[in-house]
Amino acid sequence: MAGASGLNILAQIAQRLREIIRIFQPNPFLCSLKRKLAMWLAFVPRRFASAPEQVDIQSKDPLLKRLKGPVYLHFMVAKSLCQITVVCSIALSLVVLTFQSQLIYAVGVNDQVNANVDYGTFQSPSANVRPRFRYWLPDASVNSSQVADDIRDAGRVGAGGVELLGYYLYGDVQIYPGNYNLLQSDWTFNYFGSPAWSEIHFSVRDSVALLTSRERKSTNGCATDSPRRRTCSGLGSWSKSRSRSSSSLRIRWSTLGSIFL
Amino acid sequence: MLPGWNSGALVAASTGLVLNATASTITLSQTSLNDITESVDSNGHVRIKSPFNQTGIENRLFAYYLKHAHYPEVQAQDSVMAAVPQSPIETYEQNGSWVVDHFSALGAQTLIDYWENHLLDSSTINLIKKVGNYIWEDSQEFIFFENTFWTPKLPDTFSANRGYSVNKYIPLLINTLASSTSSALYVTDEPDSGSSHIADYRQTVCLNRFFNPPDLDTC
Repeated sequence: MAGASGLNILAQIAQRLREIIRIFQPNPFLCSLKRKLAMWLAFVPRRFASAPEQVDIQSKDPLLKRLKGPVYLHFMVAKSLCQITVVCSIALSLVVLTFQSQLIYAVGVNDQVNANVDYGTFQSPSANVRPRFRYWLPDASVNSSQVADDIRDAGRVGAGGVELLGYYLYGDVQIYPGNYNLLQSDWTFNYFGSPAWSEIHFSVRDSVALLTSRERKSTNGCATDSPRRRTCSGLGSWSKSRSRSSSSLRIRWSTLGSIFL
Repeated sequence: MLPGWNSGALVAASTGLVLNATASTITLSQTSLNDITESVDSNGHVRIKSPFNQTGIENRLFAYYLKHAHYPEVQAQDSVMAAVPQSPIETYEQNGSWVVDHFSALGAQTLIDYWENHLLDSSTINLIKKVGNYIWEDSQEFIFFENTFWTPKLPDTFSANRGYSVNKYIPLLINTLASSTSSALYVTDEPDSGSSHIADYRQTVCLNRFFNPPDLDTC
């Protein structure tokens, strides 16, 4: 049955191609080309679909009947191989096109909703689709180990990621009436992109990366909190998730800072 | 003498006849609009030809200058109230962060350079290559004090893309952004009130080639 449906598909392809061929203007060369093509295209599905002893193939086949003059359909190895190659190439190119569109789809523009990323399961969603924290640092004067701890805590309660940004009085917070937040550190040393900022950025990044790799090694990404139940959360779960990414550290970027987990 | 002369590089000067004015719109005669930018001499003087032969309320002279908005995304420490002493500012990085020109390649390059020189190291770059899917710029909040998007190369790009000069239509573009000012909008007496010029302007500002101009110098 599978073979027959395959042949039906080939017959349909032949039908389509014949329709395309019909648009050729009638000139001697194209007519003979058309004739040959039609023979070839008819040959592949018909020949293999019919029994070998069926000799009067032309009179019974509506496709071949339309060809004027005698048609000799001899089974020639080289010719049929050539025909099979043509049909197979068309099929292959269709497969390649489909696969490529899948790849394009996989890139996506939003890794949380429409990209071909690992979603995990409903009970244990992957870090790609877990909620993320937005962590707005006042400026680069904050304690970096405190920040790293906070991010680990976010991971422990199941966050999929943390967005790390510099608040810097929100640029213009003092212009709004009622905002009297005073600058609490020396911005000559703690500006965005300062060595102090980089220090926080790197230390947080490296400690989170270290944590995730250690957890992956020791617990296979899951914390065991009772003999019967293994809970997978946060950073651990990220390591466990069947993510295609080889890294367990997730980073996103935006204007003011970087996003971690 | 052009009004506002010496307040910045002259972008364009033009004249136009006001046909009608209400609290919300001022209607200019499209045929009366005249680009006089080229006639302005180096001292800011310009000789205006006899008024357009059409009756209206009054003739107006428009002059537009290029000034830096100095819009800060992060303010400098000396422009905010501080609870702790601040050290003297010595480098531009310590002076807050200005919003870059979002309509020019130079603006994009400025941002790229800052990230490469101040924020990225090889380890971070490698991690981004592994897991980074996209870059997202959050919330461009530079609309509060501005009422028109502009960039220095806009007139050149407009002429190249739209086939005519934007100069005499600049009055229509003022206040095309959400603005806190409540001044009247200029329109023309064309059937579409001149909105095709605003559409041309918006299309120019949005064009991809603006960021990667094949036939213009770096913006």
